[in-house]
Amino acid sequence: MTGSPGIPDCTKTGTPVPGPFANPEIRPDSLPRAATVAWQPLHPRYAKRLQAGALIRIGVLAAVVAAAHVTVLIAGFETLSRIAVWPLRILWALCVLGAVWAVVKPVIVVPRCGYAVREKDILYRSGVLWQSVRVVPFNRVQHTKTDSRLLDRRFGLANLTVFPAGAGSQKIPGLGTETAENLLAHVSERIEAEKPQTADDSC
Amino acid sequence: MLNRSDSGGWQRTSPVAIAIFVGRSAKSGYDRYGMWSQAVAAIGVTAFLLRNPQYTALILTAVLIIFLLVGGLRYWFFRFRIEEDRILIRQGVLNRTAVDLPFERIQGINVNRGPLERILGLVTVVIDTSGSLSAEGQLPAVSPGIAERLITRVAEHQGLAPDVPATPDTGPDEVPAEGLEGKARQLAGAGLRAPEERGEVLHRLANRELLKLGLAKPGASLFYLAALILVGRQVDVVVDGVVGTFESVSGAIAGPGVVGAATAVTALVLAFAVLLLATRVGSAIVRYHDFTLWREGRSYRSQSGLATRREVAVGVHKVQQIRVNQSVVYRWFGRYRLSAPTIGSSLDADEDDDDGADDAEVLRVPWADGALVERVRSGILRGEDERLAILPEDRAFRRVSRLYIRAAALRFIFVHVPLVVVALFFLAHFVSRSWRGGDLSSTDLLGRYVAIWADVSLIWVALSLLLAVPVGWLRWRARAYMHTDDGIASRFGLLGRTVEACLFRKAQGVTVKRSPLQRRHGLATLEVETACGDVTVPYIEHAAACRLRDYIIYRAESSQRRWH
Repeated sequence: MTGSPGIPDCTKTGTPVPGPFANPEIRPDSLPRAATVAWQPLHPRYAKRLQAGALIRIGVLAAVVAAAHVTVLIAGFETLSRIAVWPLRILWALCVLGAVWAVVKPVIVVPRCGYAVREKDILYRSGVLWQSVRVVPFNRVQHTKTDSRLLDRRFGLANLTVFPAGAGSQKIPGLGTETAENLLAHVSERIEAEKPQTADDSC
Repeated sequence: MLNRSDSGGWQRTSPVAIAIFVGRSAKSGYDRYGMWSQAVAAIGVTAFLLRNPQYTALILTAVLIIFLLVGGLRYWFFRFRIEEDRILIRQGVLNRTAVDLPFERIQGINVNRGPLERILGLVTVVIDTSGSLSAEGQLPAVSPGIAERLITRVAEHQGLAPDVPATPDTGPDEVPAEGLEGKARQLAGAGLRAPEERGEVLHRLANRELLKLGLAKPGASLFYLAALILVGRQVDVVVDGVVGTFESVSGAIAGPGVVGAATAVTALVLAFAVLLLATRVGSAIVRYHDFTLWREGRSYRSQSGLATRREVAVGVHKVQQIRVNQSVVYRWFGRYRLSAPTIGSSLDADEDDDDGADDAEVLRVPWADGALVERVRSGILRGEDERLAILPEDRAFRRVSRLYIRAAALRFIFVHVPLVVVALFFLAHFVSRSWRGGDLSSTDLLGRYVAIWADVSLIWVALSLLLAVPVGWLRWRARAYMHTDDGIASRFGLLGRTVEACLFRKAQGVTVKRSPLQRRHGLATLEVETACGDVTVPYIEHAAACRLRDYIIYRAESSQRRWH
């Protein structure tokens, strides 16, 4: 009960610990709920971009495997070609499986990711089996940025990242370039607006 | 401001600072290039000298001259000047650095003394500002007179300056420092005086306690052992030494009998244990000799160390999280380890590494009883949360769902078993390498190596399958959480206990996670992120987690107070 006067959130009730929180001034039901926000989907092209990226990586791997295969065949060492048969088959199988996974995974993952911007915070949800929803309040964000790498630009996409102090940054990938720009402007504005005032700081 | 010249011109510190500068250069070189390159260079030079001993004197002289030159140059270019309202520091040979510190910004003046300085009666002045200036705001090896002068100057200035808040660091519950005299006392207190004169002393570690602390220090022994093996890299030599000692000892005691061998083994093990304990107690004494914790205005300060006295100051409002740790040995003694990190300081690094001079921002109490922990907690959370549980055995803690046992057991199997099997692989490798069979061929060696690995791994897999459920159960028993209207505390551990607590309004973000198992049973994991780590509550009701998340976010967003 020693909270300084004039700071509204210092007020307390005398409820015994711990119990579900009860704070007469704000009823739990009236708190804004993160569970009921309207999630914005990531850009549909983001799945294609992920597929392209993964396929390129698989392609590089396949090229290496092919080179190894050709070398073994041309060199024509008896023992070597006999030993190398199974490893090469396994590597080729891995390439094929990898290619299938590269095509399928983004189709599953991307629709289940989403973001939402509220007046005072930004939300991001992700995960298929292990799902998570993260909320980052604007008044704790230090700065924000957008970036788009070569492949992102090919698909007309950009990523937005917000950086809270000390805690891990939150990246929202696969936004349309225009959406990302608008979001960046909006988020920067919100960060400025929500900056905690230090004037009435007494502690 | 109008009449600066009368305040004295540029000064240098005493030449003793050369030694300090040399040490600092060596440390920065070490930090930059790392231990390994240093070791490689040292070994290379040594090898060269062994081959060409005629150059020894030359190289030694060259090294000495380089050191003296570096230290001397840095000493020569280090100048400071105390003015009416500010202190100016100029330093650097190639990269010149200029620091102007207005007296208003100085929050305290700490005086540290290294061993050399203690002998010569000099001090190092560390100027405490609200920003991070620890590297530049230092005057190494100056006479105590200069420290006194700076302290009185700053005190006068802060007492007289009208635009400075009267007592910025003093809470409403503290004895206010009255006027100029009080201000002077408060600041000067931050100088050369004993902690008793500077504030309310909360804790002083007696030597007897230090002994116990040394015994309780976690984990260090395994590290030493690994370092010994790795650095020595000569397993053969170690094995030879152990076997040789063993043989000679057993021969000396009771001849080749079974009893003699047993005695010898016991003696060896005991000697090793005593050696390890002595190292731990020694390092505890070096680091925490005469540990003193006191409260000064709105900040906690601690001072400790045998050779170098280290002082830590942490403002109460800067603390982001409180962590109380109690390992099994600590529990035996009924003591706790408390740390209160500020923004950016990581909790992972809270093992006591001795070169931790950089993170002066974490308040650590290595050995505290329950009353002290409660006192520090209520001091840090004063006026915000009087009921947040921080001691592991607090009755307010509530268990999480029993399904956590299953999750923890599965994690134990899937994470620890493969790791240990790989570790065993390398261990078997070393053992077989050092196998002294004499006439063993390399195929035999390889066979033996694989056989050892396979056997031990199998035993380990079986053992961990048996251990998984008990481990899961222990982890579940340790897992608990509690929250009040203003903060949340989470407890975890295996045999020991750790409690992490933070205030809602200091949250940087909140995450709710659900695994497939959790979804099936309507559970979730709540993670409250702070600026220096997470407070995690796994396996609670999903609805409760969402409610808590919404409330925490509301508290963080509606808070108008500065959080760091």
